[in-house]
Amino acid sequence: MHTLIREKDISKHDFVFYSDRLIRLVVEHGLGHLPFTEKQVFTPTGAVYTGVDFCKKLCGVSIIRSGESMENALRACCKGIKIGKILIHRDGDNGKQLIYEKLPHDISERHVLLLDPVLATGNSANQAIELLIQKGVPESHIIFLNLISAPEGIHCVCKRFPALKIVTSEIDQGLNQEFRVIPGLGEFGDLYFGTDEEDQ
Amino acid sequence: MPEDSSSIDYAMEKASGPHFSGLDSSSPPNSSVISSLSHLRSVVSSSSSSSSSSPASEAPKQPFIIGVTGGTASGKTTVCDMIIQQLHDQRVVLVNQDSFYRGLTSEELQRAQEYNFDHPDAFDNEQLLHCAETLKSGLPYQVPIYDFKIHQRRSDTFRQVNASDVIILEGILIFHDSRVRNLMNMKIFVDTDADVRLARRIRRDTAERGRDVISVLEQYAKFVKPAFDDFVLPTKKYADVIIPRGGDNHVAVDLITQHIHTKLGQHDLCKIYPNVYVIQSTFQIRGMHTLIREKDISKHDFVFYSDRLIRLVVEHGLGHLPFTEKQVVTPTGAVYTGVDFCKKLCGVSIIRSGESMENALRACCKGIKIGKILIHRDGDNGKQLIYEKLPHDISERHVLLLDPVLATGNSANQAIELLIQKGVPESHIIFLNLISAPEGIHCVCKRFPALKIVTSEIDQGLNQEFRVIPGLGEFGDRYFGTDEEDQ
Repeated sequence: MHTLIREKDISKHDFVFYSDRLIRLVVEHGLGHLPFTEKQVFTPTGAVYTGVDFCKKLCGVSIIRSGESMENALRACCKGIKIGKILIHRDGDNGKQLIYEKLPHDISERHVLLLDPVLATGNSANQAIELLIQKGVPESHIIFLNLISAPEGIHCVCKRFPALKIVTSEIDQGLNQEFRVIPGLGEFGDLYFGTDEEDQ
Repeated sequence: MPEDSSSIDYAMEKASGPHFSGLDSSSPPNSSVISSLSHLRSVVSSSSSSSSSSPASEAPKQPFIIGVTGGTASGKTTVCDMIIQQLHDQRVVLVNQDSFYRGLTSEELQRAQEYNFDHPDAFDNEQLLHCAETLKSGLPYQVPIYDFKIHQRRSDTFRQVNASDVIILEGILIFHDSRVRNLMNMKIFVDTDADVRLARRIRRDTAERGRDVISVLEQYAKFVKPAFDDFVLPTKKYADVIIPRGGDNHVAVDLITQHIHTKLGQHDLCKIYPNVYVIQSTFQIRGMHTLIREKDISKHDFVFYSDRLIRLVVEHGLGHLPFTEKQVVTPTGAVYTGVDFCKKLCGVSIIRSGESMENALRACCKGIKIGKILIHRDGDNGKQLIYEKLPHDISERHVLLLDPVLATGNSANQAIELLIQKGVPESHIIFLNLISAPEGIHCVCKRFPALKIVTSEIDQGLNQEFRVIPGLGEFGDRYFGTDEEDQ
C-alpha cells in the first residue's frame, strides 16, 4: 500500500482508497494502546469469557487539513467520538503559528488521539501538543497517530515530550532541503483532497 | 507429482532422526511425532471435557521447558543465568541436575575418590523425571539440596520450586533419559573446548568446592573425561541448538531469548502448526471480543464490532499473499523500494455466516471476485455440499476462504476439499476466521498442512453440542438478526 500511495502517477481515487486502508490500520493499532479494565461476560453458550472493557473518555484532535483525512477512520472505529480541530500554518521551516483551535471543553479528562498523517520537522506537531498540554491534558494521555515520519520529526517530538506515544506506519530516511520527507509522498493534504495543480 | 516427492523427503527425514538407544522402552522412533501430537490432543480433549462441566476454569498454558547441557565447566550455568536475566519479565525457574545427585553411603564416602560422579547412575533420574513432570503440569515441587563438600543431600532442607512460564533444566546428563528429553520444548548444548573447560573446572573446584588440584586432575582423567566421551558427547545430537564458547556468546543467548519470547507469546497450537496465525492480541481486540461475545449485546453493536474485527482479520490475511518487489518514484523525486500486490485473488464464502465477511474483503480489495459454497450442517457429522458457484479460473487464483467460526472443522474440510478438487493448490488457500476451537484447528491442519489459517482468537474447546466454548453463539443468526428474540 505504501508503494502505491507514494507513486507520483497514482490516480486520486486509488490514493484515497489505499490511504484510508493504511490510516484505518494505524488507528486500530493506536487504539490498542489505550488503558482498559478487565471484564467478564456471559456468552450465549453459557460459558464465561474473561475479556476487557474499553477506555471510555476519548477524543480525537486533527490538525487541519491533512489530519482531517484520518477522521473518517477514527469515527469508523469509535462511533460518535468527539473530534477537535487545530489549524497551524506552516511558515517556512520555523515559527509555526497557531491560528485556530476548537477543542472539547472537558479535554483534560480525556485520552487524546492526535491525527496528522505526515511528521516532517515536528514543529507543527510540537505546537499542537503544547496547546493540548496547556489545556490540561496529561502528556501520557496523548497518542500521536501518523502515517509517515521522518527521523528528525521523531527526535524533535520525543525529546520534548518523552511520555507521549507515537504510532506510525513507516519511518522514512530523512528530510531534504525544503524540509520535506524523503522518500515521502509529497503533500498529503493536496493529494488526498485533490487540490494539487494538475487537477482540472 | 509433487505429493510423491514430498512424501519421499518426509520419509528420509523421519528415518534419519535421532537414534534412540535400545534401552528406550517408549514407542518406536517413527511414531514419536504422532505420539506427542496425540498426547497433546488428549490434553486438549480432557481440558475441553472438563471445561464443559466447569466453564470458568481455563486450561493452563503449558510451561516452556528448556534443557541446557554440555561438558563440565562449559558455561551451562552462565548461559542459564543470562537467559534468565534477559527474560526478566517472565516467570523463570532453574532446576539443576546437581541437586539430584544420590547421597553417598558411608562405605562409598570412605572411598569418595573412587566414586564416579559423572556416570548417569550417580543421579537419581527417577526423581528428576518426576520433578520435571510435576513442574510441566503446573504444580510446585520440593527440590533436594546437595552439599558438594560432604557428598550428601541435606535431608532437612528443600528448595521449593513453583510452576512457571519457563522452566530451565540444567545439567551434564540432562539429555540422557529420553523421558526427560521428551518433556523439553528446546534443547541447548553448550560446546566449549576441553582445555578451556579443564582450566575452569580446576579453578572452580579448588576455590568453591574445597578440593585440591591433584585430586581434581585425577578425577578428571579417571572419571570426568571418559564419562564425557561416553555419555555427554553422544547426547549432543539431541540438541536443537549448539552454542559454542558458552557464556561469552552473547549473540547466541540473545537469539535464544528472542525465540523464547516469541514462543511464549504464541498460543500452544501455533507452536504445533506453523501455518496457524493468530492476529496480535491488543486490548482493543480483546475488548471487541468481549463485546460481541456478550449475550445481551444489541444487534447494531454486534454487527459494528464484528465488522471491525473481520476487517482486521482480512487485512492480516492479505498480508500472507505473495508479492513482488517494485520501485516507484515519489513526488519529491526520491525512489522508494516497495512491493506489488499479488494479482489473482478471489474470495470464497461459506453461506451464510461467511457472507458477513464479504464486505470487509471488498472494502480492502476493490472488485474482488467472490464465490459461494453452501454446506448444510447435519448434526455433528456428515456435512452435505448442497450448492457451489465459483469463478471458473479459480485454480489460477489465491483463495481467501471466509467463515467466521471454526468449530468441528467438518464444514471447513468439505469446502477445502471442494476447492482442491477444482484444482486450487493447497498452499494457495488462506482460511480467514474470527474464532476457532482447538478441535477444528487440529481437524483442518492435520488434513491440509500446507493451508494457512488466520484467526483472531483460539477458544477453549467444544461442548456436547459441538459449539465453541466460550464462543459467541450462532454467528449467522446474530449477525443477520434471525434469532428468535427479534421482532
